[in-house]
Amino acid sequence: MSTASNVDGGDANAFASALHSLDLACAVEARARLALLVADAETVQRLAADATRREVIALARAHGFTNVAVELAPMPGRTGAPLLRD
Amino acid sequence: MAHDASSAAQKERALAAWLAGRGRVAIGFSGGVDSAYLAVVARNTLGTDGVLAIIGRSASYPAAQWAAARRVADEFEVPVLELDTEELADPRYAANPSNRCYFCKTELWGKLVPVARARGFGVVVDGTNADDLGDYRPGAKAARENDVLSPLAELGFTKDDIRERSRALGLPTWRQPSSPCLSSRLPYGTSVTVERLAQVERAEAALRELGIEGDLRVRFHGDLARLELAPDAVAQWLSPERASAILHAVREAGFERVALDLCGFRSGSLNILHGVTAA
Repeated sequence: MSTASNVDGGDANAFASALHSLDLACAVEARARLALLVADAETVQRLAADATRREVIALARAHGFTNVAVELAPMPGRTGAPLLRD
Repeated sequence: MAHDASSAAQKERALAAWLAGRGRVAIGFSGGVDSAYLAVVARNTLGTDGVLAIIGRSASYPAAQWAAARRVADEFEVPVLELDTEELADPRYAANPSNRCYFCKTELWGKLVPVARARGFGVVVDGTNADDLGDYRPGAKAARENDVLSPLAELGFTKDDIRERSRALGLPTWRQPSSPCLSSRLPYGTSVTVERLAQVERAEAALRELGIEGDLRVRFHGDLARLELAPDAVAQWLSPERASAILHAVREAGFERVALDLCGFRSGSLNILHGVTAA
């Protein structure tokens, strides 16, 4: 069995515009076929609704992405744990 | 559609007959659903002298999986032999091509088969099942090259059959999620290192500590960890408190950014993302 590979990316700008039309204010960072949504905590929570999530996934696919993920942010008022490195 | 338990039981009788006709049998044993079931049926059929479960240990094999394998072996009196494998020392493997599994299994079977034969186990088997045959699995080629047989696939066992019969036999693995090696969390072309595997393993262990059950993968994207949970678990982990707990746990494991995949767990997700398809 052989494999075929195609790593064309999706259209981040058009996807972000489509999300705005759903009243979801997200920046979209394209990592090849992964769409990474960067949003405030309120928008992240709205994605907990199954119907909203389904709409976002369908839009992502329509704009050339195979995967869509939302970046997690600290709770409002918290800065999150510090990440220390040598 | 309900699973046909009588058909699965019939396949198990065929498996016992298959094993009984092979003499002493060694099993490539990871402690996953398939190899655990195969090991226990072999032990019940051939006795403790007739079976040897061999675990290949390396940085790509999760410690939690090893512990689960040993628990099954202890509980069901399956003799175990452990050996170390060095697939990460092979630059063809470490470069993480789409046929990475071929180099891993070449290393595994290249060590395991001679050890088994030297101990008087003339037949070596693995836990490949009938459902696996349709997937892109370059490791299967290495098994064939080393004369490793796959009785579960040969006799038509599906994953559902194996889970059904595992439950009937009392194996704790019957509802265990599938558990491929840690390297499967790295996209093809991203080199496999001990440090990256350890980072993924720490993150997944921390998420289990938070109470995440079922399917779970931490996909490595450099600075970003992309989490895949069981699809029906995604919503509950998007609440502010839980999302914050995830963020903290995964950052502690060494990732700077953390994202939750909205589709949830998909087997072969990185194949889809990078456009790698069976052809």
